[in-house]
Amino acid sequence: MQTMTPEQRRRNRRTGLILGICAVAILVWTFVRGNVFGGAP
Amino acid sequence: MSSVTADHIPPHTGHDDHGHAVPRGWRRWVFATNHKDIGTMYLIFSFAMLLEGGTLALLLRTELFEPGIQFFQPELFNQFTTMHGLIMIFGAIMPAFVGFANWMIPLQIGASDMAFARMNNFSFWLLPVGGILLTASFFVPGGANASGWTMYAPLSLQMGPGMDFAIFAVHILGASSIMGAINIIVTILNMRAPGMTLMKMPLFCWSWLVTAYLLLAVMPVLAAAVTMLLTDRHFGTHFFNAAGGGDPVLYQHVFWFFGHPEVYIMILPAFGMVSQIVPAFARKRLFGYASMVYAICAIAILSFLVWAHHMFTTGMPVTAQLFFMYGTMLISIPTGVKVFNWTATMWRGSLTFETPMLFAIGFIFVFTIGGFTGLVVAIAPIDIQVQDTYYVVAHFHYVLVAGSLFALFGATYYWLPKWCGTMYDERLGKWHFWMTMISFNVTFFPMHFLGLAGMPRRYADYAAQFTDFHQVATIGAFWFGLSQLLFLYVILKAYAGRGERAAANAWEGAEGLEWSVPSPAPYHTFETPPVLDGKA
Repeated sequence: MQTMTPEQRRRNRRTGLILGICAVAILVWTFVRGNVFGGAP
Repeated sequence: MSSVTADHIPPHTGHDDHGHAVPRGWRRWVFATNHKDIGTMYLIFSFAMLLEGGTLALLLRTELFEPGIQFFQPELFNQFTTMHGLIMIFGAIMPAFVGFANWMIPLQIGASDMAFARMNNFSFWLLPVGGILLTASFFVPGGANASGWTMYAPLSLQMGPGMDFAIFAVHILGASSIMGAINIIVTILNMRAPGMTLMKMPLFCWSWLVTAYLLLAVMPVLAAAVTMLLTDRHFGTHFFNAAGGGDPVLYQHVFWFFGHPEVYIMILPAFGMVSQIVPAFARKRLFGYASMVYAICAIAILSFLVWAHHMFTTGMPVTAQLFFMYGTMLISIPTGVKVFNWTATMWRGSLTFETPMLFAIGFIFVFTIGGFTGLVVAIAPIDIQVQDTYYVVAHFHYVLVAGSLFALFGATYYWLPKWCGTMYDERLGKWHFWMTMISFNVTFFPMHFLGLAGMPRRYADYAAQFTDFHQVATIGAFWFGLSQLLFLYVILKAYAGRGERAAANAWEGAEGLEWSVPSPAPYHTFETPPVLDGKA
């Protein structure tokens, strides 16, 4: 099977990384906002 | 539909072409990186979960056949209710759509595979772990999670270890969904064949692109919500515990900020499927392709703004009630655009009514009923009356069963020839449709009357005046459940090769790159990207 070109792999990795960072940021943001509104330990 | 045809498709001579042997034995599946194999595994897993969730539903309906407690104590009944919801949503419907995405998106955009093939494998193998956790929770002390699929605090803070199993399962299934979403977005954005511009993509790909963004935006919110539940339960935090300064209603806000877009995660790919099927059997281009794309985007954006319509009875200000009420009603506009366009596509088309088309038309008819009852419960004063009654149960089953499931059945019949190379038994397929359509309505239509009469949801017992409608619903539910065994038989029969051989383009009116490769689709496809002629 033809493999992807290195450039295409790099592009995919970069896009995937950005999306992954967005997902983690949303998770952290929800937690922080929950802390503000819901009461810390 | 703005479709693209291929000028030049590299020849495919069979499964083992290009000198790359198909992996054999268990390694083919455990270490699968081929999008078709992973798609098949997703679909098999989701069907197994559908049977498990369906069995739980039948147990519920068995108990509800007569008033009084017959078979299950209310505690166990609540566990069945909760697990039915969790298994159907996270185990059956969502993985089924991801299975279709895996199978069809690379074929439709002319890509050789998904962008991250190994991550794709990992995304899939997380699912059985989540499914086993959910199922195993029945056997821990105190039994499974019984707080309802929404896992509202403070009830969920008081449950036994079954709740922790559910939290971990949601984490795992959520991680799988996020990885799947990233894979789909990157595949669609970066791996389309030259000439396949975004506005020439098949609508199924468009619907999945938008769905994947929704998933990416809201699954972390759910993960955070259940993590906060976990820390409240075991690590001394008080996010949702009023005694410690927390707020149980906060959980509802966070949950429904995930939960409402989740509804569209389970329906947008269904819109995409119906948008593929209707033009194929009307033998016309899809009416209003661009407006369909914009409608999908509008629905997705609006889905972030309406979450609190699930919370009208929590005591929010009237201004907020009005905002969420009108916001919810606004969604009917892009949804109406889609229903109009499907109908306009059929208008003066050369219609034939094979099984996929029957399910697509059935979807439009029954989903529209669910949409109308959605408008009813969007009206705050009415919603306050029917909150947590069977009216709501009827509404969301019209949307999720008639919506998601009907589209999944239709799309399975539509693409099955491409998957296995054999046409399914059309006569049995039609039997499956009519049995499903009639039994679905026998099951769920009476629930509207039950709800309007005041029957609360999640109750194991009820007043005698509700008996007749409950009995009709139970008979319908068993009929519906047994009808799905016919579906299984039709699929297995086709996979066994018992039927007419399928041509590369199995349907006279079907368009798209997936129909340019042989049936069954070879193990490797589009190793060299197809050259598109750019006709639109």
